[in-house]
Amino acid sequence: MRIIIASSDDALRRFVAHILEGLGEGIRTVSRSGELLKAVLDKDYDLAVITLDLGGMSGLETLPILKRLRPKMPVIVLSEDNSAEVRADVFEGGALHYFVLPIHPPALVSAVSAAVRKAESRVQNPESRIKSHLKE
Amino acid sequence: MDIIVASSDGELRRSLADLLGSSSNHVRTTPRSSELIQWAIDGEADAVVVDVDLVGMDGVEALPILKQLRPKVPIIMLSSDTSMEVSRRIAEIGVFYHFVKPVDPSDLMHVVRAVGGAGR
Repeated sequence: MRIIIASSDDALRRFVAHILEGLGEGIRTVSRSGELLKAVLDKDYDLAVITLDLGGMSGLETLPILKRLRPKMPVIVLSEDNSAEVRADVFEGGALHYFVLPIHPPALVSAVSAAVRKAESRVQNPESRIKSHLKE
Repeated sequence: MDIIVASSDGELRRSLADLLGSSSNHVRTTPRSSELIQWAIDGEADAVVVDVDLVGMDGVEALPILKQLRPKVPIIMLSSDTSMEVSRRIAEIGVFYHFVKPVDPSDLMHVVRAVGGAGR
């Protein structure tokens, strides 16, 4: 599983990478929105974990662009902001999960594992993907 | 021609929109790098005028993303920074023309006409 982690907070970036290192065969960390967008243009990632504090564009501005570039890549957002407004903006931007910091490692590991399992099952069973768009 | 102008400087944006719009070009302007990239994802433009000074990501950081999304779209870069580092990074990625501000309007029009000519 290839995971990209983006945050301007060095310690948080390292911590998230440490939490997820057992899941990812290739974890890349970046601090700036530009690096994040360039990285996903250059290479396929299975999942992104981003914070709203990024160098350059904010995470809220970067998220919809990220989803347009890689619509199938699940994005998990971490932030200290617990407001309903930000939460709504994050989901509107296409995030799969929103975690309010401080981080609870088991919850993040569980969300990442589930997101990747779901994405993998869609790849292995394309029929299920088609069915999910059809009415019963 | 469909021209995008991106700069955080409102006065410069308006001047460039007036200047470039006077020759039956369609000009869109934005102060934000995010909008610039969204427009690049949306489709081709005939030329993009990008200031290094943008809201969000700066123009130098946005440049490789723009080039990757729209490799054929000519980019005219504007900067007030004359440092070797900025010039090197811009040259490395490759732009149609790099102006150091303040930009002479007739020089810019000349370059834009050259872009139009090269595209035909």
